[in-house]
Amino acid sequence: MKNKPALLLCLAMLMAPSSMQRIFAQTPSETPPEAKPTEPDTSAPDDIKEQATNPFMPGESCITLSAGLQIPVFMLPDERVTDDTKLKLGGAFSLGYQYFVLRGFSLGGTLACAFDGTAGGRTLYTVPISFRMAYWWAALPFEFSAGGEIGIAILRLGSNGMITPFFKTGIAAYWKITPAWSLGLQTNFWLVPEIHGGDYSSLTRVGAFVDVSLAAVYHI
Amino acid sequence: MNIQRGALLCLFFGVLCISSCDNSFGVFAGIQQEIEQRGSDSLEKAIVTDIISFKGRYYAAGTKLYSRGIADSDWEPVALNGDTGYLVPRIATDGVNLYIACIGSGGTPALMYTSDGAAWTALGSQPSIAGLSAIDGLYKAGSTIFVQFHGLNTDSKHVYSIYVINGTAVSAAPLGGLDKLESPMVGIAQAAGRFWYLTTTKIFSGNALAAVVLPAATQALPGPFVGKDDYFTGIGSDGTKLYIGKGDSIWATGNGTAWTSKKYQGALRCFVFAQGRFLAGYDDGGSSGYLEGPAYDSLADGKIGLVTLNDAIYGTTLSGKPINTFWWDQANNRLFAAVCPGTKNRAYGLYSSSWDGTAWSGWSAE
Repeated sequence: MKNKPALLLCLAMLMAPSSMQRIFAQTPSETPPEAKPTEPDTSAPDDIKEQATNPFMPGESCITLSAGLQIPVFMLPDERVTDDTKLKLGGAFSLGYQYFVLRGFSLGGTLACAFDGTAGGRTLYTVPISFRMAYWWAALPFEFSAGGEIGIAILRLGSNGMITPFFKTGIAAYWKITPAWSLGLQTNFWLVPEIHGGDYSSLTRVGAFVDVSLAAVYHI
Repeated sequence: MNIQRGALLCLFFGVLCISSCDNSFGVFAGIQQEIEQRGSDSLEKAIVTDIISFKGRYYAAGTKLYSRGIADSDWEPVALNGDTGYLVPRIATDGVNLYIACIGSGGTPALMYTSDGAAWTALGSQPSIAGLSAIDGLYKAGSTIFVQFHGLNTDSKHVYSIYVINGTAVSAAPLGGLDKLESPMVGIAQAAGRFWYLTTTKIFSGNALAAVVLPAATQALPGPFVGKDDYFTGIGSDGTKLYIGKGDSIWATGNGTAWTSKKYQGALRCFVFAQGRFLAGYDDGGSSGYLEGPAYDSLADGKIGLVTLNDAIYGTTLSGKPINTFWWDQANNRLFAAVCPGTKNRAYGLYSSSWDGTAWSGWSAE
C-alpha cells in the first residue's frame, strides 16, 4: 500500500492532540514559556478523515482467492423427466484481481471453476472468465465489498460442452489481519444462460447457482 | 481501458460464444433428462461378460455367476454346490441344461452343468489337455454348445482346442481343424447353413460339425491384415448373414465367398439384432460404446439411437464402457448389454432396455 504520506499524516494526527496540550497547559511553578512561533495547523484534512472509512485509494490493487461450496438453485424452464434433484451440491474456486480506479471503486477480472455432480453420475464443470466491477469500504478492521461480473462461462458435461454468457453478483466481508492480508467470507449468485438457436432453440435453459466461500485478499 | 479496446474485447467474447457452441447439445437440458441409475449392489463396478436366461431366471457371468428371477430385480451370487470360491465363469445354455466353465475354488478348471439351477454336476468325458490352465470359452451357435480348452503345446506355447458339448458330456475329440490353435476363439456363429469359427486372425467354417476347414479361397477373406489393429474382433449372425468385426469395419457375407464391408470406428466386438435394430459395440481404446441403426451398413452413434431413448441416458449408462456382449431376450422383449463399467460409483456391469411394442424404455442399470 502506498501509505507513507498517509502514515506520516496519521502520525501527525496522533501527535496533534499532545502538541496542543503542551501549548496550552501550564502549572504555577512553570515559568511562562518563551513565545514560540505559531505551529502549522496539523489537524487532519477532510480527505484523510474520509480515508479512515474508505482506505482503498486509487492506484492500489488486490488479489482475491476463494474456495467453498457451489449450490445449484434452478434450471429453467424446468423440464425434468423425473422429480428428483438433477444437480448436487458441489465446490467452487476462484482467483481474481482488482485495481482501484477511484477511491473504493475497483475494476478487474476473475477466473473461477465450479463442479457439481449430476443425477446420472456425471459431473458438470463450470469455468467462468469475467470482468468485475466492485465497491469496497471498510470499518476497520473489517472490510466489505459488493460487486458484479459479466463474462463467459465454459460448461463441460461428459465429452460435450458449451460456451455461454455469464453474470455474477455478490457481497463479501473480510477481517484485515495484516496490512497485506484479509480473510473473510463471500457469497455470489451466478446466472448462466445457455442459449441455443435455430432448430435447437428448445434446448435453451437458464441455470443459476449460489456460491458460499472462504476468501482471502492480498492487498498490493 | 479505452472504449475501443473494451468494444473489441466484447466482440471477441461474443464471437467466441457463438462460434464455440455445439448448438445441438444442451448441457442443462441433458442434465434434466438424466435418471439416477440404481442397480443391484452385486453388479456395481462389476465386469459382466455374458447374460442368458434359463428356466425362469436370468444368469449373468462376471467374477462370479449372478442370478435373478425374470420378474425380480435383485441379483445374487450363485453357489456351485455350496461353493462360492470359484472365479471367472463362462456360461451357455441349450435350454435343457445350463453349462458353466470356471476356475474352481481349488484353482483348477471346472466344467459343470445343471438341469435345475440348484445341483451342479461335472460334465462327463472331459478330455485330458496337456498343461490345461483354463476352460475359457463357452459358445452357443444355433442350438449347439462349444467349449474351448486352453492348454500348452510341447514348446510351452498357449494353444486352444474346440470341442462340442453333447448333453451331459464332452465330445470325444476336438473339431477337425480346431485343435491346438495358436489364437483363442473370438466367437462362433451359425449363418447360411454353416458354422463359423473366428479367431483373431483366422476364419474357419464348415457345413457340419465334423468337418471344419478354412474357406478355400483366401481372397474371399476380408483382409489383408495390416497389423494388430486390423485383427478380427467380433462375430454375429442374424441367421442369414454373417457379420464380422475387423479393424474398424464390419464385414458381411451371405455365402462365405462374397464379402461387403462398411467402415466405422474402433474394434467392433459384438452385435445384436432386436426389433429391427442392429447394434454393434465398439472399443477403440480411447472411446467405447455402441453404434445403432436399421442395418449393419447404416449405423450411427448409439447416443441418438432408439434403444437408448436419449443422449442423457446413453451418456450416463453405456457411453464410455466397453461392451462385452449384447443379448436379446425375445420372450420378454428385453435387450441386455454386459459391460466393463469402470470404477465410478453408480456404474454397473449390466444394463437393459425394454421394448413395449412401440418404443424402447432406455437403458437402465440392472
